[in-house]
Amino acid sequence: MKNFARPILGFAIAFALLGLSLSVVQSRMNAIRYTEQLTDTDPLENAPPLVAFTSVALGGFRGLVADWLWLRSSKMQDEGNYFEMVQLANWIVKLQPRFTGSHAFLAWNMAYNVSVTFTNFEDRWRWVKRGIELIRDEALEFNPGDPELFRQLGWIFQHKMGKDLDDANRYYKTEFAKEMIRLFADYYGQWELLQKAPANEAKLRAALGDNEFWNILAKHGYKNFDEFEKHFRELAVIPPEILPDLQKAGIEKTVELCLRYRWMTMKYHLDPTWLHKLNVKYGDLDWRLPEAHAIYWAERGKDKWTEDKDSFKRLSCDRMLFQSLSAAFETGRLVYLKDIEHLEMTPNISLVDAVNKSYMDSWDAYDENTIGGAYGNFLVDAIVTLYKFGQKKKAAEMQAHARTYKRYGTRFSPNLDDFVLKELAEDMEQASQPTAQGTVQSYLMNAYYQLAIDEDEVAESYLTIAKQLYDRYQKFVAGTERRRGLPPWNQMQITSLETTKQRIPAPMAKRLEERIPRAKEKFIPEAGEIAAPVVQ
Amino acid sequence: MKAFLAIVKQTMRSAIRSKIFHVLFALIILAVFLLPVTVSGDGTAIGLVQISLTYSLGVVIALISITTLWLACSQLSREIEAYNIHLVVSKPCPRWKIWLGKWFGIFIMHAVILIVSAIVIFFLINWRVSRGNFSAEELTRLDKEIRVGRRGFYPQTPEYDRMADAEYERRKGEFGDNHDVASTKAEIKRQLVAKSGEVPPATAKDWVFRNVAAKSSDDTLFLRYRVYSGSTSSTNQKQMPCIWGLRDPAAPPSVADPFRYISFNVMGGTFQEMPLSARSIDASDSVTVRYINPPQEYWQGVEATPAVFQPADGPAILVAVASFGNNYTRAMILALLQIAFLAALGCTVSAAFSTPVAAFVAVAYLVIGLSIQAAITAPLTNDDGSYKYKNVTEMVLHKFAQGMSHIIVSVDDLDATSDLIRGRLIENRRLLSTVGYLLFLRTGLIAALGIWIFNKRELGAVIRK
Repeated sequence: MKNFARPILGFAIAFALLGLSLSVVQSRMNAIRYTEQLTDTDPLENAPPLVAFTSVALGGFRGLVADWLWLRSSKMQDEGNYFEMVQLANWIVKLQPRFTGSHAFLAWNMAYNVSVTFTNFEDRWRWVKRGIELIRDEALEFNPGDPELFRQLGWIFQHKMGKDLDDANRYYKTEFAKEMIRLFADYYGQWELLQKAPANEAKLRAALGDNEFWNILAKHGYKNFDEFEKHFRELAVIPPEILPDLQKAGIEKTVELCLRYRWMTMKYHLDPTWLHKLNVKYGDLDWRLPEAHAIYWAERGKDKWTEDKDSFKRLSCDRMLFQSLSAAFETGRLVYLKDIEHLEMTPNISLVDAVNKSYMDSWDAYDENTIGGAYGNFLVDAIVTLYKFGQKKKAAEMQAHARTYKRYGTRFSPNLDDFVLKELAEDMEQASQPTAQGTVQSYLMNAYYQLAIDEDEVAESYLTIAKQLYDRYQKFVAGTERRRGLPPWNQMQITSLETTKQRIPAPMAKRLEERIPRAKEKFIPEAGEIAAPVVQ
Repeated sequence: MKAFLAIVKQTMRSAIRSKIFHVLFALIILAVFLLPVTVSGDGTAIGLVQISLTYSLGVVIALISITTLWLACSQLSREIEAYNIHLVVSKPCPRWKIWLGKWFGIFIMHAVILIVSAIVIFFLINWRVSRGNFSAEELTRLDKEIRVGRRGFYPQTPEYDRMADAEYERRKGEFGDNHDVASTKAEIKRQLVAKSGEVPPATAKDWVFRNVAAKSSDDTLFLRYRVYSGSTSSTNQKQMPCIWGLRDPAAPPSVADPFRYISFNVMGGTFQEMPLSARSIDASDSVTVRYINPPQEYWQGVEATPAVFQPADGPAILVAVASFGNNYTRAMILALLQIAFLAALGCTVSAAFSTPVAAFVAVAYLVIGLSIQAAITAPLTNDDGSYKYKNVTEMVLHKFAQGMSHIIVSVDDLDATSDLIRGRLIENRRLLSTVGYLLFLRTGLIAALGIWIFNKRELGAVIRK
């Protein structure tokens, strides 16, 4: 043992001296690396000790290890063994923290390829979340300046969750909305207040003073602030047993703001300053829906692009912005019926000007033919949606604007009523009798459904459209009514009302029954003896 | 017996003094205690157990195997090179007893390490699950699917040979006078097998599983299957609508269709498990399931394709017949047999060569064993599971690899972790065949060779370097 003591001591002293020297010169060396452009990439930021250690200790060999992990991940996926993929992806990111292309692929693979192998929607949602978390919590942590990662993250929100390409898309939206409702609670929309919340324990201590809050925590058995915060996140509210004491001390709001701010920024990486900024820029985005988050990440990514970088990728961020804004306009407003825990996505018509501007700006900036095509489609959707929602004046304004573009020829020329009816009833004249009946009934059912969720104006518009489509079809089949005509209007109303009541959850059906007598007369079908057949 | 025990004791003492053993033992300790509590799965209780078992058992068994092989390769050869063995062989103790004593000493030492490690891992994983804040529903699913030993029941295979003969007789006239009867029948059989796994759109296929036994009618059975869309190529697979029907034994005879159906979309080419009630087992212990490939109008605008089932992918019905502890013990028995084999291999080469050469030969043997496994699975397969050779050379090499696999022991044959993490029962017949065929027969041959070499070796001719 004596023989080993000296070399070990010598080694320890040398190690300590070299470590000390390195820590002195490291930052200077990194600065030289950066200013002299000695490497293609910037020094690694925010690396936890494990990543910093493996980057240095394994040197070039970490690439080989990452390759092996990648091969294993592919093999496991082929065999249908997905349980290792999160761990393997995590290790690959840690071994190759700057290889953002691989991070984006791994996240996409989990969110798109792995998720759809499950038939259970809950399982699918878990994998979509893992994909989001890999970019948001791991890859972006090490590469906060990489716009491509922001774009890829936004894409999962915009395309995977926002579009209806996946059978489970409504489940994703609902689960995500539930998470966001838990996150924001009663502070939803109070972004300016959240911006000012204490960001950490030290600042909370500075705001509340040294004793009171911590004494209350200790009294309720919390060992420290972290334990209390963990409990808060489990419940998503201040634990009921501690709330009276905080209220008595008058500090519950400051504490809750701090907790929610930290939850937003640390777990979801949502900065209230940005949320506020984007709401000012675009209007009232609904932050409980994926489209708003796609806009958030696209804007964060766009913010990182500089003029000398790839204009194609900048365009893709802009494209994501106007596409997401357009999607937010179509389904970007959440109707949340707290009493029956019901969530419903409806158009967010307040965004129409922001979407319009976003399209126009992008078209001006890139002069891309495809943007012009997409813009035309948006204008049609906007006019029809505004009309359906009773915003006829705004719809007419949009139509007038659309007429100013030569590109669209006479597409927007008809008067507003005819234009909308034409768009809605484009297929009505070619439709078979069952299709025409189904179309009218679907508008009627939508009217009753909107009535059930207290959207009276929208319900009225749907009812008007249903009647117009009904009249138009009946006019078209005049002379062949016996063969091709639709059932009497009141019969269709009864059928649709009964079917709606059967199809919606029982608490909502009860609400509808309560609403019908209070609604305007036109919603109440005339009494009849016709039983309610089920619409196919 | 006294001499044998003395050799065992001396072998263990000597092994414990090895520096390489110290390093590997330290790694084993780290792996046993750190891996089960550090690796993270996909966020589910099932994922956690699967990944913890895979990594902990995989790493620990690999490390124990390395120490076993290293010590077995070095023990005898070092003693020969150091002339220590000369003192032992001068005693009234036959050389076969010395060889067996060395083998048993190394085996028993590592067996104890493995058993202790396995017990610690078992409890650490269960402890981690209990601390994981998983819902009761998730834990129930874990206990039904993973922490259990499930036996697979397979449908009766049609008599393809008889069917091929009948088909051949029917179409004999089409083949001309000079056709080769055997290859024609083989091709007909291949086509019949492929066709039997194909369900075209707007058609259905039934499978009957016989002798299915569950402990109680409240048990959950699982239908495991993999269905491909169009072909068994892993690319171009798509979401496909499918309808599964389960025959209800309680349905009165007057009911025209006694099946109960469930429909959903499934991604082609992926393994799926669907829970079924044990009440679907009828009085004759049979379960009948039906797969319906829906017609075009259910395919949501995508072109309808045949659903293809490969014989190896099921469907199979999985029934819980043993506890997780029982299955875990079975997996550990296989791991113990692996150690016994590696110790025998090491002692045999160590009796013939110096330590470095012995280690090289032993590792080469294992690499060949693993390569043979890879070579056996290398050729592409047809939809019916038969091999699709590119040329004659590939066919010859494949047959050679298949032949060699009957002679060389592969450690892959002794790895049961993949079954354990899927809750698949490690059957008695697998244990018995491993003990009989792999251990007694093939490892026994290696051991006999080792003893024979050691007996024949002229120890006096060894020159100290």
